[in-house]
Amino acid sequence: MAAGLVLYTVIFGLIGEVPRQPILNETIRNVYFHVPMWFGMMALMISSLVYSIKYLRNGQVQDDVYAVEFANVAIVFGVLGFITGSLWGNYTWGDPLPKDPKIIAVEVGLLIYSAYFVLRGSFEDEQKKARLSAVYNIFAFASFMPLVWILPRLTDSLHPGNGGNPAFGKYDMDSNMRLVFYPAILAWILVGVWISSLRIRIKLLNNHLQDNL
Amino acid sequence: MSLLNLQDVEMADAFRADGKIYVVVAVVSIVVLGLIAYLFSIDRKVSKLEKEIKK
Repeated sequence: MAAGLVLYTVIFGLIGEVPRQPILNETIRNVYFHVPMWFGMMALMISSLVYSIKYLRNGQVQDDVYAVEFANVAIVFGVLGFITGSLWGNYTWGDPLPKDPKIIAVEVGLLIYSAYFVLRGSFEDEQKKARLSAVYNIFAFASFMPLVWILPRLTDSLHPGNGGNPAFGKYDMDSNMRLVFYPAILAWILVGVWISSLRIRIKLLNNHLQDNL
Repeated sequence: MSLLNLQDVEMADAFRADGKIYVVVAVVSIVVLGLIAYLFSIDRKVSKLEKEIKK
C-alpha cells in the first residue's frame, strides 16, 4: 500500500495539473515530496514518544527498541526534508539557508534529536541507557514541537502558514493538488513506518540472538 | 549595460529554465537516493545477522 501510494504520488505529482504561480513555477510540485518528509518525521517522532512513555511505564526492552528505531528513521526523514528544502529554497528564495525562523528551529530540533543518540551511546548499562534516553526523548519531543510549530508563527517566516497565518487553506493549493497531496502525506508516513518496522525487527532478532548465545 | 542586455549571456541556469522543473527532479532524486542509501545500511545489518545465525 505504501509503495502504491508513493508511485501514485510520483506519477501524479509530476504530471498532474498545478496552479501556475510566479517564482514557484513548477517547483510547487515539491509540496508532494518536501512537505511530506516533515509530516513523516512528525508521525515517527510521535510514535517514538508513545513508545518511550510506554517503556517508562512498564520497562519492557521491546518498547525501548521501538522508540529508538522510530526516532532514527525520523531523523533520516528530517535530514532529507532539510536537504530538499535548502535545494528548493536556493532556486525560489534565492538562498539555500535563509535566516528563516522555521529553518533555524528545525536545525536546533534536529540537533536535540541527535543528542538523543549521543546520550544513548554514552551509557554502558542497558537499563540505565533505556530509562534515561526515554526521559530525554520526551523532553526532546516537548521542545521540538513548539520550536517548529509555534515559534515560527510568532515572527515572519518565508514558509507558508507562518507569520500569523493559519496553516492550511492559505497553502495556495487547489483541489487537484489536494488530491495528490493528502495521499502523498500518507504514502511517505507509511514508508517511514515500514522502514522503522524493518529496523525494529532486525534489532529484536539481534537481541534474541544475543540472549541465546 | 545596454551592451550586456543585447547579448544573450549564457549562465549555468539550467535549474531555472523550463519552469524550474529540474528543481523538482533534483528534490525527488535526493529523497530516493537518501532512502536507498538508508536501505543499504539496513541491508548490511541483515547480512551481519545472517552471518551470526550461520555461525
